[in-house]
This record gives sequence, C-alpha cells and structure tokens, in this order.
Amino acid sequence: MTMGKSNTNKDLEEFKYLIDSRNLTSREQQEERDALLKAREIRFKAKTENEVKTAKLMQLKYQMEEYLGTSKGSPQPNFQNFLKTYIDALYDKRKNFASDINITPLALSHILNRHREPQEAFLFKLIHHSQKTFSELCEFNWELWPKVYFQDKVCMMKETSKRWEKSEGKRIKGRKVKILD
Amino acid sequence: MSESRIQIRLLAVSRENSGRNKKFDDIAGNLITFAGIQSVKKFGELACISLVPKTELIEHYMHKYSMLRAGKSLFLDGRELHQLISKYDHG
Repeated sequence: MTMGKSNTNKDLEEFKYLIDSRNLTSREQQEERDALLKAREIRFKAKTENEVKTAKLMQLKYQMEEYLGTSKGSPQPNFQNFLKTYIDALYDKRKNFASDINITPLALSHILNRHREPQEAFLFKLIHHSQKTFSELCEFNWELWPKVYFQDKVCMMKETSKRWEKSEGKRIKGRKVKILD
Repeated sequence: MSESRIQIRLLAVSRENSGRNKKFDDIAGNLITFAGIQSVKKFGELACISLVPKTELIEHYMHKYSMLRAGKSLFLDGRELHQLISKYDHG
C-alpha cells in the first residue's frame, strides 16, 4: 500500500504519544549538523584522559558482546585483539599489566602474539582484573572473556573441520542408530 | 571531525506506557540508552547521540538525561553519555 505525504503526516499527528519528531529541510539539517559539530568540537577538546579511557572500555565491552551475539563468528581470532585493546586502554606499557596480574611480560607477549594458549589461571586473573576495572563503570559479565576465547575456538574448528573431514574423516567409524517404527 | 553520531529520528512509547498511569516506567530512557550504546560500540570516544525535540520537551530532556543544546538539537556525548549508559544498562 502506498501512502501520500499528507496521509503520512496526518497519521503522525494522530499518534498522540509521539515524544519526538520533526521534519527538517535539507538546509535546516545542514545548519543543525554545523551547530552540533561546533558544540562537540569544543567538548572534544576539553575531554579528559579518564573519559577517553571510559569510552574505550565501554566500546570494548559492547564489541565483545556483539561478537558473541553473532552466529557467523569470525575467521580471525578475536580474543587476543580484544585483550590488546583492553590492555592498551588502561596502560601505557603492556608489561605493567603483566605485573598487575602477576605474570611475566614474556608470557603475556606469547599470549598476545598467539604463541601460547591462555591457561585457565590467566583467564581467572584477567576476569578478576576486568571486574575491578569495570566495577565503577558499567555492568561487566565475567563470562565475556572465556566465552570470547571459546567462540574463537569454535570458529577456528569450523574453518578446519571440512579440510579435516576430507583427509581424516574416512578413517573414523561411526555407529548409526535408527528410530524404529 | 567526522560526524560519528547517531541521530534519533523518532522516539515513541505506546499509550499504556505514557502518562501518570503508565505500565512501564522510563521506556524513553532505555531507548535513548540503546542508541547511546550503539554509538559507543561504533564510535568509541567520539560517540554521540542527538535528536531534535519538540519545543515543550527540551527542558525535560536536558533535565532528565543531561542533554546539551546545539541549535535546535540536543545531544549527548562524553561523560554524560557514559553516565546515562551506566545508569540504564544492566546487562
């Protein structure tokens, strides 16, 4: 069904509980954009280091949640990338993070560069550290880190499973079970 | 500076959730927060949300959500945006 402009406006007018709506001309829109940019620029220049840090941490949290919410996954491992973002948002030097969670800088470097798998103890330390970091900012579900780690694993397995099936699948004997009438 | 902003074009609540006898409280606050979260997720430290309110609602938005004025628009960014998200996002 097509609807004329006047009908649309009438419908909007009739919708009494509309909180906010205004149609602006393109010139007015441009003026609004300019006014907003000007006001934001002033605020941006006055932004504190803490605000930047907060924004980065919140962005990380929501990106991790989004990653877990997508069923497609990603062929790129994300755990290490998220971890780098987390550390870099908080520390000037990564070795200071390593010191704070009581591991050696070398061990951290190996995890970040995917030369070593993060062990359970590392995940516990990271979770504990994150909970302290986010405690005054916003809700942070402790399961995010391990879930991201295992989502990476699942995605990687999806990538390799077809290849593996071709080369090794024939050697696996299964036992079929049927539903009997 | 690029826009890095999400503009709320339309914000509405159903009849039973508006007025004094509303069924659920603060739906508008939750919807504004949702837009704020999307903006933070996408733009990080540059995140911003804005809307062009009806004249009679300007004071309400400024008071309740700490929105700031620029032309006919109201906007939220930086600390005030983070505070709103922190207040409404419990998930």
